[in-house]
Amino acid sequence: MKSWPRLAGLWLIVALFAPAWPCVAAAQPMLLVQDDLADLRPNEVTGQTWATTSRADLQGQFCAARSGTPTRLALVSHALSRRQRDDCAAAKDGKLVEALIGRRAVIAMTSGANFALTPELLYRALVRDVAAPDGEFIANRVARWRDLDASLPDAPIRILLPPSGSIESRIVSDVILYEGCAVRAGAMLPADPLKRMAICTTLRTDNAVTHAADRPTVTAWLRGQGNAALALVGVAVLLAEPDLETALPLDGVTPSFANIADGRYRAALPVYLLTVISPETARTVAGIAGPLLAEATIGPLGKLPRRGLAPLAAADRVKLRVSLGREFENAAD
Amino acid sequence: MRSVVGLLVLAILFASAARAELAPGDRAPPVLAIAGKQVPLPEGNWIVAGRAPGAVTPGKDLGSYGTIWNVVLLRISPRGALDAMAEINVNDMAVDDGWGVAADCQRSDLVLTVVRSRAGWDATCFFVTHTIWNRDTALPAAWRQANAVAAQRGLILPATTVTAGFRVANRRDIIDVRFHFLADPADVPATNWNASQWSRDQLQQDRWRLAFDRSVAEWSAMMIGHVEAGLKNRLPPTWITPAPGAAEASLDRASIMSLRQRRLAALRSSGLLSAAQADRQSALLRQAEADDSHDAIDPGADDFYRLLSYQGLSVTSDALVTFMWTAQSVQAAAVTLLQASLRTGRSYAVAYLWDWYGDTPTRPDIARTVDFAYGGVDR
Amino acid sequence: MRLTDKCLAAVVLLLALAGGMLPAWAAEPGETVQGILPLADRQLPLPRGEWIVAGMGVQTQPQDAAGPFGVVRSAVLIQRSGDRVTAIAEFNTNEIALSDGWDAPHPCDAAAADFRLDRYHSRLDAACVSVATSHITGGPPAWQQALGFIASRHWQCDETMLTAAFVVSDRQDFVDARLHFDPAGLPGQDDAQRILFAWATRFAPEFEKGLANQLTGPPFDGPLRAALLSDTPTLDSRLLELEALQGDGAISAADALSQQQAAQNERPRSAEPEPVSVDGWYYRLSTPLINLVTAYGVTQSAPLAVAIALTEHVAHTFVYAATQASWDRATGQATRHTSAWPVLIHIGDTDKPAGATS
Repeated sequence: MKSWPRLAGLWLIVALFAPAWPCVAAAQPMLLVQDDLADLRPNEVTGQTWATTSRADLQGQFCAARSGTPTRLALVSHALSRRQRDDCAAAKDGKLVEALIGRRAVIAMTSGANFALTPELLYRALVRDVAAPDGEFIANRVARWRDLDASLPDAPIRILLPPSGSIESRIVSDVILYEGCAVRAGAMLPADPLKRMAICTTLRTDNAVTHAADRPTVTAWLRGQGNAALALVGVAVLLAEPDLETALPLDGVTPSFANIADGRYRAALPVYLLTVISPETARTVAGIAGPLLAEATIGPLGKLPRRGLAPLAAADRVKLRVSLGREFENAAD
Repeated sequence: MRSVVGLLVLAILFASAARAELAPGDRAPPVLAIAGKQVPLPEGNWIVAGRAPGAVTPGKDLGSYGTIWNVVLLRISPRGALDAMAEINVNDMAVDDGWGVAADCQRSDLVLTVVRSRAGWDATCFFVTHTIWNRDTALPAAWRQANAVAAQRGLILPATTVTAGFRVANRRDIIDVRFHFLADPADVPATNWNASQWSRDQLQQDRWRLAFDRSVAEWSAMMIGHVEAGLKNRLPPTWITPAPGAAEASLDRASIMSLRQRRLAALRSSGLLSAAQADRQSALLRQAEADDSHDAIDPGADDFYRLLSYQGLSVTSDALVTFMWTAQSVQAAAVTLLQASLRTGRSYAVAYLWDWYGDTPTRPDIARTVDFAYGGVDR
Repeated sequence: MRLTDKCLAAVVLLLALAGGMLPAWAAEPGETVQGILPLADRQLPLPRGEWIVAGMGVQTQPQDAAGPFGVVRSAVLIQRSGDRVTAIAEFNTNEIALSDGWDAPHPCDAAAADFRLDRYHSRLDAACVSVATSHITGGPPAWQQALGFIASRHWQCDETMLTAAFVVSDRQDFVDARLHFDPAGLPGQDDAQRILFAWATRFAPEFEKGLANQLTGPPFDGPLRAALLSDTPTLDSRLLELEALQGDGAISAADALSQQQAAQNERPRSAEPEPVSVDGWYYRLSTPLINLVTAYGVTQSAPLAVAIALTEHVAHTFVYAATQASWDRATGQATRHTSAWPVLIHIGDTDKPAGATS
């Protein structure tokens, strides 16, 4: 009872200033980064605070109708579907732009051995349970590469995986393993997508598989494990360790920035910059997106490749800056 | 003492590592490092007076050179007066397709022009003339900064200077440096360029001015070699270039040819070259010094003279052949004339069509003309 | 204070440096270098990693060799992994700069055609790249020294290597470089040549930068690693520098964009003759036709017109050949360079066995 005057005073203050809250909120742009892309640290590049959001929630948050928050940018690893674009309420305030700024990729490195990989081979090497001829899933006991294919080295399977929770880890499971699983055991998989994913991406826990957190550097780990050991690494590790030289082709495509950028190398996920451009927000969006699209950020010698972003080709980077620059200019005019 | 000398040697050896950019007002070293090139300065107390992006003509088709750095320096005499100026233009980034020769190097109305090389992707030349400094002329940004620095220091800018200009360019980089030497007293008013007492026509009547120009010309012949060396960063950072007016022996000793002769002598004394080889190379060096023009032949001129000689001889052979077959001089003359006229018309038509509908223009092996925005007027 | 002998020596050293008499500091055999080998007043680029200087020397020139280029300095460097030589770098370059370039024949003309790129050529400058297989046998004096160096350390050296050859020359200098790689470190034969050639075409501009002593920044990656990264490293650096200039206010945004777009198509060009010339197909076709028609028009006799046209055609051929030959001789004399291309011996040019393995 004694506290009610204090509470009343507080509500009075809130009530008096309530009309101003939307104005205050409107001054803050909504900057969202998908949780497994947070390692790109866009906040350091743009000088703005970016909120980390799960992939599932991000599109909803970005597209939610919210008056007073016209300036929105997001970094995501998937394009919006047609339905999502149509339903995106934010898009109605202006032009929805999805700009591909690069890709995240996983590259298989060795310390010298060179052999061809496929998603199916990696699936059979990595998963906990593999499909038996009778349709049942049994524990994976394959110990040597040659057991998978006669053309592979006669050496124990030793694979270093990317850190758990990273987008590289998701590329391994969602892109490589899932595809390999579909090729190898497609007919035998359950119909339920969650069960399929679980079967296809649950990894073995024996010493064939090591997780990134357990090793000093990839180069040191590879040297200690023998010639046929394999490390699945992202672009950040590739650039950070100059002694990494030998990359294995996947489905006949040798990883390179060019092959990753044009989509030929498939162990990759795109990174999009989503934004809505309108006459009111064009300048603000340009001010935030500009540093993010600069050569010093997304170019091969820039900050984001050192954090894992495989850059676009030079011509595409220039084209991206020109086309977005025109969008901003046209909207502002 | 040993450690002090050792530190001094180290400091000198690694002086070039200190590449912090010089700002207006800073003292310039004897060899100025700009944008990955070196520009030697004649002996004296030089200060950086202006540094700004400059302008180049033509403005396009030169590749992605970044910008042109225009640097202006002032030399202060021991008495504290201004006695020389320098304006430098260099490219920021190397290109792939070369630069060109200065327009001033192709003039015939200057005191001296020497073209050492004028090929498609290599141009080296120098000239001596006079420059008029007109206060009303719109100045490049670096010169405006220099004017401000001069005003701050109470330095009086001249109305006329004797100018030695140097252009050195290869496929990647270009250095254009003009040294303006003050010779007239400060109160001599400006005139127009043609009427100046430093013009080539007036010079012959003025023994003192003639001698001054001659000393600048002799100095320029020595200096061009060092500007060339600077394009490839081959000057020791502490290299002191003699100034105009230095003794002939000093200029000779400092010349690139003399340095190369001493290098040959060192190779000979070390046994890497035999006496015969060293003597032969020394003679070739002297020959190269005497014949220091390495012009390419203008492909257009080459084609013209080839065509002219071919057409002349082929028309003559046509006349002979036709006469041989017809045994009639009138018929032979008529056929020959008609053939020559039609073939000439055909050549013009093909050339015209090629210009309009043909492939990308070729790049002949003759230098194009490239120039910058300069502070003074020299024409 | 009295000058000691050592102080005097230091002063002499300073004066000598100021006089430009001494050549630039060069590495000694046994030293390890990374990224750049300084030799004869220029920088020679090396791919990333440690390189051991194994041999330094000069190429022997004939007594009547033309050209005041001093001597041809050569250097051989080794890269190893354990006791195995994984790469050999051999460099040749002139000691003293010329004034008017190098005479033909140019070594770029002799390179094997399959994996060869003529980067550019003109009267005064040229550059080319080629890839081929080399047999690591005998070679120049610097290589003999290197063989002894390898043998003394009991290192293994393969007798066949894959070689990337680079030649750069301008009015003053030349660099002839060969980088030999152990094929065991590269994928299968066809892929290896293709990878090495792609890498060599990107590494070649480093030699031009080195001639100008402008090599800065981290060393260039080797062939295997470079194949994983950007295939336009020169363009990437250019775009970054242009952006930095724009950020500093040295150029406007429009200018930066215009240059960024120009940079994408920038290629070194070669000297090209004018496209329209007397020996073009349209001239060869139209000239006899014109001659025939006019001869018939005047003589009104078809056989006579044909005879005249044919004879004129034969005469024109001789006249053309004669005028071209005499003009070629005249212009050749007028534009002759003082210096012939030096005589160079490369690793594998002589049959002397390697004898370096243990």
